[in-house]
Amino acid sequence: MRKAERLTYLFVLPAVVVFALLTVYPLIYAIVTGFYKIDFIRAKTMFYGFQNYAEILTDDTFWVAVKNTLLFVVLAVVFETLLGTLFALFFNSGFRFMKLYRTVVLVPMLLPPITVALTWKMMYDYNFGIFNFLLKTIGLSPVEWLSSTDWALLSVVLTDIWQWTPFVFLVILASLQSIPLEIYESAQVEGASYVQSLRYITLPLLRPALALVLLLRTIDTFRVFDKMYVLTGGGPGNATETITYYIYRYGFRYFQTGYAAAASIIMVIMVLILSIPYIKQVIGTADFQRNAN
Amino acid sequence: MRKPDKSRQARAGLKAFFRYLALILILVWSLFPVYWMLNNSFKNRVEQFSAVPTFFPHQITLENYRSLFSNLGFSNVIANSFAISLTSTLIAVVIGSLAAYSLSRFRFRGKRILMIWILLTRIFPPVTFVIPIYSIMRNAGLMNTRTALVLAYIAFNLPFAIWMLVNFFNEIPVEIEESSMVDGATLYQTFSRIVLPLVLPGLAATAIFTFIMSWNEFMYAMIFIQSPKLATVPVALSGLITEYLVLWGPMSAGGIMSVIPILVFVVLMQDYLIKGLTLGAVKG
Repeated sequence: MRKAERLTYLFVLPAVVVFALLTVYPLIYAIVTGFYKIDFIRAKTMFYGFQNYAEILTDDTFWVAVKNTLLFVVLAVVFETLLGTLFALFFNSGFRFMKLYRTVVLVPMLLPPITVALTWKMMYDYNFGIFNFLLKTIGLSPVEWLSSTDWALLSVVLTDIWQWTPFVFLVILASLQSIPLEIYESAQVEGASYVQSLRYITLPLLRPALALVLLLRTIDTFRVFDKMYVLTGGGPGNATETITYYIYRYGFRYFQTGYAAAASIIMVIMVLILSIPYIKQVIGTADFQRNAN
Repeated sequence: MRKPDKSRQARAGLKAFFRYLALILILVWSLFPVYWMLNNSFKNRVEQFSAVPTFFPHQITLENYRSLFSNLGFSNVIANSFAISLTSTLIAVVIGSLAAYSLSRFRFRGKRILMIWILLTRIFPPVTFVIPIYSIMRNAGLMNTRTALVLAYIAFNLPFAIWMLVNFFNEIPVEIEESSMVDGATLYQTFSRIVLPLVLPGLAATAIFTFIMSWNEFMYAMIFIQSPKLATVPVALSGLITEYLVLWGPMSAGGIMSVIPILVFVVLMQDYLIKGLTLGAVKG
């Protein structure tokens, strides 16, 4: 083995050790645990085969959690993408102090989700919140934002949209700014209107960035937990219980570790299915290396 | 001739008006919740629960901050969060930059598998690892320690750190290193004396990003740490909501405290941070 090659391995070794101990091993551990029935309280463990999986897949509340999660993902991702793209198109038209405004707009995505959820909880408050105050001011009746089954999920979605629209905005803006201006200039010379150049130049060129943003936001919203924990506690009933919340409940409130582990494996499979295009794309194109040497 | 000119002027004026109106709406949308928290953090208890919310505290009070620090032990909580986030960031960035350098520059066996695994850890939901890591930490006697959180955060920040850093390393031309190697420097010398200084801004951006992710993390912190003395900021904040009452005032003050370090980083490092956030996304 060449000396340089040995050093290369030495460089990646610490990372490989971390991955092996803290992600590979835990994943195997979770898969194995999923085949056992473990009862912490009575300190009993027995092999359970696929029984956990069968119980989860026939549990109605699990499917409610799946439904809530998918609804959450679709609503949040669609609106974040639409709003973020609109913001980016708007900012790309050029402003004085653009950089300052851009920084202001990106702030929400960097804040702790718990802090964000707490602020919104305050604003959603039935008696003292600003939203109901505004509704009452214009003569409408107040809404139970977080405690009615009709509104709770939508309220959490809105909070997520507020926090994560900036991510879409940022990526799309960067992508817009990488489009050479000459293309637009020659389109203008040919007499294309703004809408036409948007339709035939901008959107096609944005496609890769849009696809990536959609996928990353899907992966990230699929795991949503913090906001439910603070805003609704999964309620009312289980109107805002997501898959992560379901697993947390079984793993750390009822201490049914095997059952929770099996549910988390089901969740992994779902996420993998959702991100097949992403995995394909990254593995297909990026060699992680700029120069072949 | 005058008439169309005038209407064109009017149209331009109207356009500018709507553009700035839209800009103001976007800025208000982005800032209002933070402003509202700041506003509430300086209100006294009576004003917080008045039927007509006030947009500025009529009587500015520091009582919320005082009770946060003296009754709720928040200085301890902030110290915990800083200790955990800084330690995990430091380790993740050191380990990550070594790995990222290799991934950016060399071909080696197992590289593809490593790359795919990094991608997969980015995709896997954190809740999948929470049960096994909980058991591992308990068996290692690390339950209810800050070390457990540091380890967990290293594991989750490392893929992000490597991903970002590979992109930063890729921006440095290989020729510089090659000429240094020709001059007789070893790989380690080339890395530490030539590559590292060049990639420093990227390292800083990655470090800030990892710090923010650790600072913001909630689920692991809540599950791994039971004693309030060791709690991190998000956990302590969520603890201010109980079934019977919510401590809105101290909660707003604590929320502001949780936001300050992030805002400092954003102001200091905005360009690099934005670059780091969009790099992988635009290219990959």
